[in-house]
Amino acid sequence: MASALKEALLKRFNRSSKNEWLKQLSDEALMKSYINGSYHSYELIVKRYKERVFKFIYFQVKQQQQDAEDLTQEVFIQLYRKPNNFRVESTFSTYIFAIAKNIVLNHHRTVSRRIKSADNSITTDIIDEACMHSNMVNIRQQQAYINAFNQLNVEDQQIIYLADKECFSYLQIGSILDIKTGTVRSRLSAVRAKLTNQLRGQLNEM
Amino acid sequence: MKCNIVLNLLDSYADNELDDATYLSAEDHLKTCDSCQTQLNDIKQVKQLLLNLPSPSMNTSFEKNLQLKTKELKNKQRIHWSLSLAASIMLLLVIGNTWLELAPTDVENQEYSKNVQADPFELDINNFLNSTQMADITLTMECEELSKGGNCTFSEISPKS
Repeated sequence: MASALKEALLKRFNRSSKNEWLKQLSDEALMKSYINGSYHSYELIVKRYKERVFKFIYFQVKQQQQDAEDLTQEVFIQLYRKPNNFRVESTFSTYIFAIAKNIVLNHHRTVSRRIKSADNSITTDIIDEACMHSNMVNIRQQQAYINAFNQLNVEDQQIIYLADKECFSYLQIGSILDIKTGTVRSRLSAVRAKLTNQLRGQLNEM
Repeated sequence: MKCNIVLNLLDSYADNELDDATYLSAEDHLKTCDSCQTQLNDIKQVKQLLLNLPSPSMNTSFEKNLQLKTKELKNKQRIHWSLSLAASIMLLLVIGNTWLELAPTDVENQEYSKNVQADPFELDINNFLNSTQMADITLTMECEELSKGGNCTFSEISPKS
């Protein structure tokens, strides 16, 4: 009886220490572990990336939370089903954002009409939340920014988000969007100029 | 560094994507050029706005829902594998059965092996003898020094008594 209890405790200890050990692994090592059959490694990856992926998608679906969550789930389902698509020599963060990018693009291709019809109800939630964090000048600027951002096409939204919110390098952005570094540079410059002009126009109207 | 060059580099400058030497040259220019500095401030403002933009938290049940979905997928995969396995076994059984039906029996196999191994000369003679018996005749045959390459000749063919 005592030995059975001891064995059970030991097993539990081993499991929890293994889980603790997994938490310290890099994303790439976790992916390797998941490919070798560890579902817990997959769960840890989800924990690490779910918020970042969700927010990336959230700003490309006109701030529709449910759509963003559904698409985020799709991203992680794809990761679950095809872990072997991940090349160990690449960085996991760029890999998961590349999946998210493709899923959003597909989503826009299939349900573009629905998104357009929801166009006008975009900013209320986010600005309500912003009220708690910022002063009135910032709120006006943020509202203007969201309006300007939502008028960009999805590809422009993606590149600006990856650079300005995720702070990825040009090389990483090129890898995620599958474009050359020079193209990243020129497109970012063009999109920022567009945003600046729209912001200026909107702030003058307010 | 001139304005037109610096203006082209402003985004890379703001994103810290320039090499050290170019960065320092651009920095020197920006210290003295208000026009370029204004452009840089616009870029920085746009960057800062997105960085500070609030976004809602995810639904707390996200991970649980995902877990359910992955379990569902796993079960589907199991069913798929089981069905594939069953279909493969069925196919093998059908192929095996067809093969058994078409394959020669043991008796046929023995006959075949016997025929294959039999001396062609003996085979012909036996066949001939069988046919002659069937036709109710008797055959007398003489063979001369077969070991030295001699031939056999039919010396007499008469009706069976």
